Amino acid sequence: MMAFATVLLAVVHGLAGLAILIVSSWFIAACAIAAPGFNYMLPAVVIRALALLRIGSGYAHMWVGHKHLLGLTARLRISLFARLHSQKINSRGEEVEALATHTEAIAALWVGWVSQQASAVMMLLVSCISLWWLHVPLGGWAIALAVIWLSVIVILCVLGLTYAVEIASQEAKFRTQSDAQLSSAPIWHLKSGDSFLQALPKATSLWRSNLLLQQRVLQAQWVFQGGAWLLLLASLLGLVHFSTTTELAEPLLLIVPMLLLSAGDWLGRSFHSQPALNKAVQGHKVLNALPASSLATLPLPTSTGSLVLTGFGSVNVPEQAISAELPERGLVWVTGPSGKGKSQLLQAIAGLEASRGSRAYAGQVLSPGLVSGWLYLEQQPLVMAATLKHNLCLGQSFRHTELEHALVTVGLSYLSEPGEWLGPGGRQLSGGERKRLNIARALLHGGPVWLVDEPFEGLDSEAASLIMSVLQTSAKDRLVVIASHVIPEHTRPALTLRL
Amino acid sequence: MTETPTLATWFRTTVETQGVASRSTLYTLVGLKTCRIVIMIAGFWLFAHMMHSLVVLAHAPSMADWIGLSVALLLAWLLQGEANRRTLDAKTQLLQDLEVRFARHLAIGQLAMVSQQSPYYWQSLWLHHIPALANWRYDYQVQQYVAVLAPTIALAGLSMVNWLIGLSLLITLPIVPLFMVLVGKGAAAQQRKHFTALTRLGSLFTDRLKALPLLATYRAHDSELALLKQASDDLNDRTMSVVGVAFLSNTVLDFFSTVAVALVAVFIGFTLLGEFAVGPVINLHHGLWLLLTAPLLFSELKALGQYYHQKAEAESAQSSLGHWVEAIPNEALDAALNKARVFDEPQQFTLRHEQPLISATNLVLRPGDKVAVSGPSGSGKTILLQALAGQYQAGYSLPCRVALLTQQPVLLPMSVRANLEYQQAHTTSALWQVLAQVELDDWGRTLPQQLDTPLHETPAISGGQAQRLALARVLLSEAPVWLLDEPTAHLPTEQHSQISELIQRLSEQKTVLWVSHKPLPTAWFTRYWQVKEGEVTVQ
Repeated sequence: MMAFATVLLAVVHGLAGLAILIVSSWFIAACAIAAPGFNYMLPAVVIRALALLRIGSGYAHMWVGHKHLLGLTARLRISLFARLHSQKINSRGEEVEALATHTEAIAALWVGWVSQQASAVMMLLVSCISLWWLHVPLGGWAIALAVIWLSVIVILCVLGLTYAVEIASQEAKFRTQSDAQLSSAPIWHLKSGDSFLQALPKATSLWRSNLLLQQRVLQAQWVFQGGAWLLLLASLLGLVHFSTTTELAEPLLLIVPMLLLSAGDWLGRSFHSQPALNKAVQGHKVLNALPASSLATLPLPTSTGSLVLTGFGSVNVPEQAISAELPERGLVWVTGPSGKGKSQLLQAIAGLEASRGSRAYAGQVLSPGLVSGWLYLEQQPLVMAATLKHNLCLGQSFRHTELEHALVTVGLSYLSEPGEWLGPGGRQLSGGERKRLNIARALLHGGPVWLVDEPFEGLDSEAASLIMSVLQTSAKDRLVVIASHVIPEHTRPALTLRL
Repeated sequence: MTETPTLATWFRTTVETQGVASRSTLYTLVGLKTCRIVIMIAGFWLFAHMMHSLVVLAHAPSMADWIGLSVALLLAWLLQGEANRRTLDAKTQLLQDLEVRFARHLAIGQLAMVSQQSPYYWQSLWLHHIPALANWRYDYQVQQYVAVLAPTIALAGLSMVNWLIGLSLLITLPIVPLFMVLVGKGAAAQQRKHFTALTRLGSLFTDRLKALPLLATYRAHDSELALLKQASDDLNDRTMSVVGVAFLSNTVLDFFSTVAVALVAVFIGFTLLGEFAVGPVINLHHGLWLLLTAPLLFSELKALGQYYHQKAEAESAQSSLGHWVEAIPNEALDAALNKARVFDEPQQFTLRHEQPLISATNLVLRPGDKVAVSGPSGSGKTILLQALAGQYQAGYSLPCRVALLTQQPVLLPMSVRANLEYQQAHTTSALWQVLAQVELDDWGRTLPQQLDTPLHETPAISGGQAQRLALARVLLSEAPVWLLDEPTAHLPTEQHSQISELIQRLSEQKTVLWVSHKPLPTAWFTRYWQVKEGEVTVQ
């Protein structure tokens, strides 16, 4: 409904603007020859009414259009989020960030493109019909104008969409190339002279395609402008040579030349809206091809017991094949140099990543998936844009004292306001604070297995020993697997896995 | 820097130097667009005259008028095409110039510059910020001039033909600067508020997309969905109430332009009828021309409003690009890129750099020295090495080529050969020889395609092997000075000692600065430097 209201208001806005110009020019002409009995008050009122209609519909179009844009963006995002229940997106953080822009671009299609085209189509259609209806002289030229507009806009849209594909692929190419080039910055100094300057990332070809699209939009408008004026000159030439006195002295004669002269102004915006179409189509493509994979969820095991891994490893680490029995309770260390897949192993055990081999818990072989109550505490924990309480509770409810206790335990007692907003526009937590908040959350939620990824990195020694003691205490009631390349002294792990 | 300069000032002082983005290009575009408007006004005159003949005089328009109109429209059309073409050319040129400037900063700053920000940040400079500057310069700034010139010209013309209409529009003219402010401030406020709301909502959404595994782990998807719905509704309601006011500024401009046309039309009509007897006598010729020309007072201003988003984008480009588009003299670039291959003069030097802080006074370095650099983490050891390599403007850099070896060896996703030949081509036997020196020849022979095996297709290469490969590349570089930045930090103790021994053996003929937290045989070193809070001292 809202979408149609947006388009309708845009059409009214456009039509009113065009009508003012046409009625005004006709009115002046009619006044100039002042036929007897000419009722000049009515058109004067109509002109003023049209002016008010244009102003009002212009404002309403902006208002309704944006309300629709915001509402549709929210609906698109919510439905996407709902669709991703028990799934995860396998793309980089920045690509996920871009989804916000893409959903907005899809929603902006109505305000940005459909409204403009609809108003252009309606202006042409209404012009043609009323010219024919009122037997306005030279009315046929308006049909020619409509044909020119239609051909130019169709060609522009088709071309524009092919450029959009080209631009998207160039952008992807640039990102991959520049990623590789930027990550080799530590060895740039080995090159010298021109060979070095050539090895730097370049966006020239991407820019060229972008400018080409801009060029086509400008050209389309230019060609259409030329076509409209050509029609104007042709129609006037006809009047110069072939007019008979009977059809002259008619104020209606003015209408079609006026339409043709100003065609570029009232139809120009339809060409400039092309990029909005491109962005929406591109957004659709990205959303439809979103690389998401399913995370099967398994129920909480009925009994606890030891965790037995047989030839187990993450599929992302080819040589990983761990066979070990992890106790029901206690600390287990996973160590080894970086790049050996400590983090991958933990995620595979948690069921966040696909795995090879088998994992059995309390004598039961588990199918792939996330086991309820098995918490993977990531290396760089996410803090969501929400309140502190929301971040800690995550859908469950805890008493105020419980929250306080958990925060005090991990050394975050200074975060005393549960309603405090975290993230952009609120309190920004440091990497170490995020880690501790993550552990506080795990303390609240409990669970029989914790898989903790590099908990000490980025913490000063005091905080690190505090976290160590918290993990040690927690390990009395559950299995705590810690992946870390440093093992603090005075720990008594039940088992150490060296990768 | 106490206050950030405005976008226009910054652009003039930073970018507009040494022939880049010359003013003449800008003025040519303004000239072309203004000429087109003048020609259009003349065309309107002829058009109105033809209509006057047709309707009032009831005879066919003259051929002279038709030819005149044809010439005017043709000229206007060609000028528009030329302005379009030149705008795109100017943008292309500016993009190229900015890319070259930026590349020069990268060439000098290298790792020290790149590591300050994420790759995504740098990519955004290329993808969004540099093009935003080009668009702002050649769309928005050009339109700024046209939006002032066009009303002035139109008003002058209108006054000449009909002083009364000219005068009444002149009275409204002080409103035009007010419009500029309205369009500017209003659109800015609208943009900002709208933008902030959308950004917040966007981050709320992307945050939860990134947290999908977390939400699945805690079975919290449904509660987050409810929160997202609630937050969207709240934020949308609030945004609408703000934006509703901001839209008024657009409407004010729309109001004046529409009402001006409507009132001019009614006034002309009534004057033609003889209802009004104020002001000069009007005929259809003049009346229609006035009607066609009056909108020019506002149309270019409205167009400026449509470019307004470019200003906001260019401002964010200004804050991201900062001084990275300043010109760098050729000599400085040459000095940085073409350094000597030998190091034979003893050096005594002083380093000074703020942010990041590094300072050293009268340090001595002789060819063949082996310097142990120590200090707590974060004290500036890496900055010292990068400053000596010339990546900071610290008042001194080593006068010869250097080879830096970092904690994480850089392996390109290419073949072993391409990795070794990063700097220049070598014979296959030279490559095998250097692999033998770093004790990787046995490993190399086990590879399916030997030297041409792509690295990402080999069975995972260990950290030690990777660092050996990086060392081989350093050997091939023939740099006389090696700057070692904890090359063994990520390796187990056993491999640390093996690779350290290897480095000592291979760098006999070199000058070496070695940063390490792990123990190294002290007897090997000839000098000991300590870095503490950015200050380098001799031990």
